[in-house]
Amino acid sequence: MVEPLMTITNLKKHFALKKNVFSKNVIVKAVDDVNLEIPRESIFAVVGESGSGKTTLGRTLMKLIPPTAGMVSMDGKDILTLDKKAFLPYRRKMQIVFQDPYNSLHPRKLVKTVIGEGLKIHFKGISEMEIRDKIREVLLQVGLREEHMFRYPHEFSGGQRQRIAFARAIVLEPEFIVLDEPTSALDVSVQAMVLKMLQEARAQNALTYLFITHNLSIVDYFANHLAVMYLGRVVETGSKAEIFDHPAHPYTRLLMNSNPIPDPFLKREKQVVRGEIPSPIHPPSGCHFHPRCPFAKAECKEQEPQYREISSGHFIRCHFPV
Amino acid sequence: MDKRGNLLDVRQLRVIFHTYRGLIKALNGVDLWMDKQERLGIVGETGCGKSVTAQAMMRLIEEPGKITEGEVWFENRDLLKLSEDEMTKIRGREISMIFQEPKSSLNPVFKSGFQIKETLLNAKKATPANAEEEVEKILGYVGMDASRVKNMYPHELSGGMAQRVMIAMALATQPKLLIADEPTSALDVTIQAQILELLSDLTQKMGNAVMMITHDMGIVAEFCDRVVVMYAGNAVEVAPTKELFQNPIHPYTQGLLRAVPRVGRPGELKAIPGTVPDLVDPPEGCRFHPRCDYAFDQCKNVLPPLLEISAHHYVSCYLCQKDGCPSAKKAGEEPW
Repeated sequence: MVEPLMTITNLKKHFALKKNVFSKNVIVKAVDDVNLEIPRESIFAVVGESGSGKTTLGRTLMKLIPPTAGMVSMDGKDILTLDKKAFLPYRRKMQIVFQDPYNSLHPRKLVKTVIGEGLKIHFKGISEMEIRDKIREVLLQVGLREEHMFRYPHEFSGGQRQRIAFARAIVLEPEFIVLDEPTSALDVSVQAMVLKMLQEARAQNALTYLFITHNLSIVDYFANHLAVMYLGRVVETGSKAEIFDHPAHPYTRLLMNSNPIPDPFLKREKQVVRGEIPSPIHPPSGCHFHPRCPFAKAECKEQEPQYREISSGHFIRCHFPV
Repeated sequence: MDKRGNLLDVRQLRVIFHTYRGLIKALNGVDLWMDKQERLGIVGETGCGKSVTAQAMMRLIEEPGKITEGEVWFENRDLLKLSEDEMTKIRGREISMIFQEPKSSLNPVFKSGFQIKETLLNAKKATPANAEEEVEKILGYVGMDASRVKNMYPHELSGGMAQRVMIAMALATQPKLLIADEPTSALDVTIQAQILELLSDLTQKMGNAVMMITHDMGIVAEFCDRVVVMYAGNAVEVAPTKELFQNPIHPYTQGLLRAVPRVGRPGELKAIPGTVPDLVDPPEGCRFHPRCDYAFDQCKNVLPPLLEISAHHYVSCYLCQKDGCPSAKKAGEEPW
């Protein structure tokens, strides 16, 4: 296997909640013991319901929020322990695009400022002309026009704004981009255009994506690796083809089964998952999924399943894989 | 006058909104109809007028909006001609509605049980004496632990639970029609599956019709009997679900279906070129013509009427009249 671009080892992010002055701190394990390898130039999807910790994972490994424990190494270097100055070159190499294009662009800054700001920080001594050239180049690449750099974000539609947010990320020539639900605020026809643009940009710039989403249909279309998260833990990971053909974790199966399929001729036995995702403040004992799992046995309630490899590159956290 | 559906027949509904930017022509003569116990899906993208259609039917359009034209026949009454008092008797009793954000639809300062009770008493479906009992029964129907949930305030409920309470309230009065406006868009897929199953079971048992407003073709395929596709304030195609997926005729419907990613069918997604028109200044004629590959002169001048081109399949497109729907299938290619 090729050397992965990013290796995540035992990454944890715990938040302390204080109910009131007298009570003890309550710990929420938003990301709990995550181990992943992100291959170079892959599209790695992270799937899960709300509250599963997928966004926290993205932000922690971007070093936007400090981790509780664990290691994230990029090109063999642990980036989480670097100080601000030493981290700066890595900040350029890893960028993020947020879910809501209406809130992630500064409303009072021109598009050229929004995109060009990072250039001044990361490419010291760059001239205004060079900045202008680079902005023009990325705007064309994301399917916008040169004159758009003199407009404000409110003059654009949701899809166009997401293109601007993406242009801001790629102008720094990164290697790795976290895409946090980049299309969930968009209509399907716009989504199709944005996804296409993302694919083309990836091929052109040799990018690696961490694609956070809750939509399995997009994963099938877009990604080549996949991790499924439930209550802060990765419950299954592997190549997309492997997981879609042989989903081993009951949760992955139920998630796939819940996904509505736009085909009225398809006959399938729809299994509906019982219950809701539990509160991460008091997660269930043993396997977090056991109260909703149709195959749960006594062991699942008592013992935490180990994270293990069931076939090459296919990891799972379950006592009784399907 | 011939009714096209025995429950509901909306004809040439027009709604405008006065804004500082100008007049928004939100609905441009919408036609749709429903039979009793039918499940009709209304699909379209943001701003196509699917929610406005439902609100106009319920006469919930407020200033600066205005219904300028049209008829909404519900059984034998034109809802647009009723007095406000008569309309109040229809809302919540004969036609109920549930919304996308269940938590903001509930009153935050009253317990959920109280809110259901109020609905029941208003609709005279219970007496003060047996109301409490009825509330528990209804909460049981929507699969909740009644004794616990009735004493909970909306902020204590999860999104899925709040939507169940909304469904309980909406169906408590045994309406003939339930309008569900994106009822699961704010919910996770596993909860969405639960809610859809619940809606499906309950409406089947109670025998009411459902108008499902959604942007998700997956929900349409799994839930609806018949579909209305809307674009920029018009119903552009109306067909039974299977017929629509197998034989989409309107170029917009075809584009929409090609843009939807599907599990097990990887391949290229095709986007519809261009963007949705600004409804302050919509294109003349067919509102889709600037984005349509097949548009010709006639499309640019007069809005095509919604015509039945095969049994129960209605399309508003001149292509069908010109040379028999050439756009429907290209040789050897799947319809979408």
